[in-house]
Order: sequence, then structure tokens, then C-alpha cells
Amino acid sequence: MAIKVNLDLMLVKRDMTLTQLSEEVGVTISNLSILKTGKAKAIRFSTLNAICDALDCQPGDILEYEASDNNN
Amino acid sequence: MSGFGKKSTAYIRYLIVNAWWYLSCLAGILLPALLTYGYFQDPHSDTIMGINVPLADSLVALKNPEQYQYITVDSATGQVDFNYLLQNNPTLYIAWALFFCVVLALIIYGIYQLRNLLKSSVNNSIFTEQNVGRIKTMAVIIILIDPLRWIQHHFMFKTLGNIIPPETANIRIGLQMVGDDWTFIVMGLLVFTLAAVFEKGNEMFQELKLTV
Repeated sequence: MAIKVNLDLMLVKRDMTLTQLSEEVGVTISNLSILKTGKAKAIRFSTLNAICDALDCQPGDILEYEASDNNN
Repeated sequence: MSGFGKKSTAYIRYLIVNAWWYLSCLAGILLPALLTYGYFQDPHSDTIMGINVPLADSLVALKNPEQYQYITVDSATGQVDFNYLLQNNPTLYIAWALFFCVVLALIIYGIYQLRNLLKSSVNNSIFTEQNVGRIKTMAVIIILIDPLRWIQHHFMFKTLGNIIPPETANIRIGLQMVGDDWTFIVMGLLVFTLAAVFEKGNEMFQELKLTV
């Protein structure tokens, strides 16, 4: 997928664990893990909003577009 | 038509139904035209097609008596030429032709709905209001099959039974499992369409599961 998730990078920058983020955001660890590993097909605005709020960052800090030959 | 790039099973089914639809359209144009032509222009023409009517087994005799060892005759099917019908009972001919045209129109409309349903599944837009309407229309047409058969039996075959001459009867020996009509093929295609719907539904469910 051309969209890359930089959640792990932001967690390191904010010195937070996935469990802490999970408790703060109210999303299960397994769902956050799906997001972190790039397996997620979609992300809700509400989830993105909560993550940005918890990590004090912008959506662009978490999501990054990576151009590739095959965008499918 | 983005999905047409992939030669999916839905696409192959769409091609089959599409070919069937065009053939039905051709039949829908040609047969009423031939029926009308037969009535107005050429009353002594050869038979376009016959109507099958059930006959009593007492009317049936096999050519070779030895064949009775291998074939049991409980009932048989007689066939009436349109030509004969036209000369002896023109009213019934018109009624049958009109009935035939109505049934043909219903079949063509049903196939058209099935074709559009498969086309939408190929285009990945199967869960739409139009498709709900299409499936309901097809269900109504399938439900109408039996009442139409009842009308055919009670109003046409019974009248035909009074005029059918035994010498025009012929026997058709076929497997009981294989229907003379297209019901099973239509049902099969509908089940395949349902499979396509479930396939897409499962895909969407998997996507939903991976939505955070």
C-alpha cells in the first residue's frame, strides 16, 4: 500500500508504549497493532483524531504517502 | 468497468448471461414476428414450433412389441402443429401467441435484470438499491412461473386436448431429472449470483475487520 503508517516512530518520539496509547485512545491493542504493522485497510477519523490527541501530533506525522509503481 | 480487467468468475457468468440475453432478445423479436406472419400471410406454412400436450397412455403403441420389455409407457407427450391449430382454432392460436409473447417478455425482462445484476457485481457495486429492486423483480418473475403454468394447463392444454388428433402424436423419451424448461438453469445462475454477492460481502467484511 502507498500509505505508510509511522505510528511506531511517533511512539518512540513520545516515549510511549502501545499499551499506554491503547488505554488513552480507547482502541484495543490488537487494532493498534494492525495499524502499526500497516495491515489496516482503513482508519476512522475518530481514531485518527484520538491518536493525534494522545500523541500531540498531526495526521501527517502518523500517515505518510509513499509513491510506488503499483498503487494497488 | 474497472473490474473487467480481471477475468473473474462474475465476469464469465456475466458473459454467459449476456449471450443468453441477446439470444432471448433475438427470439423475442423473431418469434412474435413469425407467429404474426403465420396468421396473416402464410396459413399453410410449415410448423414454426409445436405445443406439447400430455396424452393418455392408451393412445401410445410402440412399433416393436418387444420394446415393451424395455420401455414402460405411463403417459406420453403429443405435439400439435401451429399450422393445424391455426386452421382449426384460430382464437386459441391468437390466445396462445399472446400468452407466449407475454411469457417471453417476462423471461427477457428477468434475464435483463440478471444481466444487470452480474454487470454490477463485475463493477464492484453490487450493494445498491437498484440491485435490491432487481432481485425482487426476479423473485416475482420466478414466483409467476407456476401460476402461468396453471393458466397454460387449464386454459390451453385442456382445449387442445379436445382437438388433438392421435395420429399427430409422438413420444419423447427423456430423463425425468432433466427438465424440459430452463428453470434449473435460471435457478443455478441465481445461486451463482448469490455466491457473487456473498463473495463481495465477505470481501467488505474483511475490509471492515481491518478498519481501525
